[in-house]
Amino acid sequence: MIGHSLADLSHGFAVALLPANLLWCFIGVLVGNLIGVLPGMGALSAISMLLPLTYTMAPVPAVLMLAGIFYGSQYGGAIGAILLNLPCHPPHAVTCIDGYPMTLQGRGGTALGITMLASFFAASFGIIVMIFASPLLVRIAFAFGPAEIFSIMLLGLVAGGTMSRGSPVKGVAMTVVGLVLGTVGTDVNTGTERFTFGLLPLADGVALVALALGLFGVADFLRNINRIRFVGSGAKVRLRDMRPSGAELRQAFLPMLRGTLVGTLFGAMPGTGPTITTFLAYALERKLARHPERFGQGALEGVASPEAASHAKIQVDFIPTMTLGIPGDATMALILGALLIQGIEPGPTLITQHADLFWGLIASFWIGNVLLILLNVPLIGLWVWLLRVPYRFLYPAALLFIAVGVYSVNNSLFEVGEVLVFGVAGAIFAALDFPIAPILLGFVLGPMVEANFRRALLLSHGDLMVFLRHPISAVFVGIAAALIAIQLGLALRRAGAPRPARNTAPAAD
Amino acid sequence: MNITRRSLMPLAVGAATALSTPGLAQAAAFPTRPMRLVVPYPPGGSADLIGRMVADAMGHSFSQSVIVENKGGASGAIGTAYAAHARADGYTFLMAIADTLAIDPAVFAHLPYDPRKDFDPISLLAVQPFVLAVGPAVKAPTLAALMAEAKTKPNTISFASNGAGGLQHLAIELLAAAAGVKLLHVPYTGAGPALSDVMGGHVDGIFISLQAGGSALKAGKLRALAITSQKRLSIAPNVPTFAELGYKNFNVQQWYGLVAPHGTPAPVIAALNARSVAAIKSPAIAGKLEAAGTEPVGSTPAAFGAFLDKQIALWAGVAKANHIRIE
Repeated sequence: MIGHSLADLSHGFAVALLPANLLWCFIGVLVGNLIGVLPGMGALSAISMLLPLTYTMAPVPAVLMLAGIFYGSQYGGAIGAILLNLPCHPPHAVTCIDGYPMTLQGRGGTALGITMLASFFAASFGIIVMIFASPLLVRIAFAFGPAEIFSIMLLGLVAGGTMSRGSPVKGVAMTVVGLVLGTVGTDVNTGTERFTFGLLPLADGVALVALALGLFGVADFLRNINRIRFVGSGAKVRLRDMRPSGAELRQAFLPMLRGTLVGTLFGAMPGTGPTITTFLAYALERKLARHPERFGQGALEGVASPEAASHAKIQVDFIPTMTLGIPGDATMALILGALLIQGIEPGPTLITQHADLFWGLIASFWIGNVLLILLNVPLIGLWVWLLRVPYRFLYPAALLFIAVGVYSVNNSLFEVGEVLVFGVAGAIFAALDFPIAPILLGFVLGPMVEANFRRALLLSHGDLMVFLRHPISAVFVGIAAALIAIQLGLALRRAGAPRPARNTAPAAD
Repeated sequence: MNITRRSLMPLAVGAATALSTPGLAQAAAFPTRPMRLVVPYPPGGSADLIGRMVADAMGHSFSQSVIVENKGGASGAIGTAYAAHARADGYTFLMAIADTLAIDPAVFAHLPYDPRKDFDPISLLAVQPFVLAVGPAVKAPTLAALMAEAKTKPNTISFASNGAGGLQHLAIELLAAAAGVKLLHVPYTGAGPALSDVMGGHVDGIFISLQAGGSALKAGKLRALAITSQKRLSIAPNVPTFAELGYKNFNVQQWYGLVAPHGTPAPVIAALNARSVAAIKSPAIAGKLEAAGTEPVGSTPAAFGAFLDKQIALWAGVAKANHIRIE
């Protein structure tokens, strides 16, 4: 089995390394990478714009290029998050929490370096999983039904509810704000609109891209206007600062590995978006950390783990798409469509009937990732250099790109307005010292928790025990209960102890 | 590919202009700039895909590009309303499907457009039958056995859909009514997660197009019990039709058609009809659609109008009989 896969893979490399295929793969990752740096502008718009180009192309280079755009765009996403607190794509919003403080400390280059490493590591791992463990992963994914997904998302909510620094009450309050925002839109079970106030654009809920860009990027701009002249302390970053030290690599290794595993698990499940994946990876890292109070102040783990998770998820996303014909998201659906236009049916028959395409694509993933690393390492210098641009030029330019990018998602001006609203709200929250990340956590997890809770109850005819009868679900519910118990225990003990002075109080977890 | 299209073109255009002599001059001047096809969904779905293929071919034959504008949201209502209010000059037309023009008017209390008053039909491009597919949790070998089981255990056989009030949902209600049973409807957001849960055995069955579910059927992850087409399909010869199994008039099909904002000049409609029909019937597109279980049609505007009226009446009846109404 393994020997067979290796033989196929070597054939795949032969296909992917053909000059024409290599060229299209390079064009794909380059376009993807550049698109990825732009806020809001995602792989979906890039692929839909370039799709007509593939009508006249042979199937293999066409798919190699489109796939390259998809995973290439992920590499760009973290750059804005780390350097400008601007999550160009929602999955990278969580990277802002520790990535941006690192930039403010003059360690932006290191953060980017670790991001690139984690990305490459996670993508390579995801590709290896695709080659050797696709059937196993598909079986695991099928074991997750509504009850299981509810429980794992509930655990994420419990673990992540207090993920931010500072007052836990504020953290929980902001999670609730996120949950409330998540209820806006069409109710899945009945189709009734909730809290849309008759506004049709709200029928699909608040736009995630607008929420992330508003709360993080725009809010930060609003707070910084006339206060800073350069991001960070200005031009202090040198080229050699980008190379993470040995100690930093050791520090980032385990988080990177854990993030990769989280991403791989979620990758096989259609419908669990990349944003959920990265937030859960971050929450997990914080829960496991010996000094969780470091998180939010530039902890390397808080960058390495979610970035690894997002890249593993993106690569593994191809498994259900290619082997089952079930697209994990809209972008995957578009790539499936491109296959169909080429007259190729995705699914189990793809591997046997179009072996050169399937294995060529897998080989090109790895080649593409190598190209992306080669492309991005020198570019880190350029991105960091961009910080020397005076803030008064930088932020209007970024705002313009935000507006264009958000518009491009659904061709909707309403969503550009949402960015503004959330930007102002985010600035107010930040001024009052309310953490922002839990809003996004509640927003992405809430609808998943609710829909799967109701779905599981629908299937069990209202029997709540369904969450304990399913073994996988029971384990997650158990861990969530234990977390709450520990939290309560800590709170009781702290209440018994004499109250320490406010500013020296250990940041509660 | 180009040769066939060119050789078809003069015939089709000739036929179209012959039908509409008064506007001959106007038709000759159309189009003088790029057109846009509004697809009321994000890129990636069937409607988008068919729209893109047809737009590309129409663009070539008009020598003016047809740009696909994805205007997603509110299950297609945003993009459809947007097209309804566009200028009726032929430069904007809309990809319409069963959900937006026939089902939503029956199901939704408030809809920002009227399917017949706001649009003039151009052509029915394609129809797509659904298969009733079941996952590994179902042991019943046939549709009759499954419905017999549903009769003894009401509300236990579960069916997934891509959303409440959509075609997949109404198909479930129509089946339940026809078989005299009660089925458990489990809505999802989108066909992908719904399909995945059926394949995982968490939900029993689903109505799904062959384009979306074909590969899972071939892999044996799903089993097709019946298909809604009038005749068995050559790509799925072992799947019996609903009619064969005793369900007369179980006419549940997704369809894709082009409509223009109401008031678009008849000669322009005729030109759009000729080019789009030629596009959908070209071997390059028709072959791909047929291979994916979708039947290319390419009807006249009048025939599409009559089809629309029938569809609207059909789904209004189903929604009323089953009390499906979304406020």
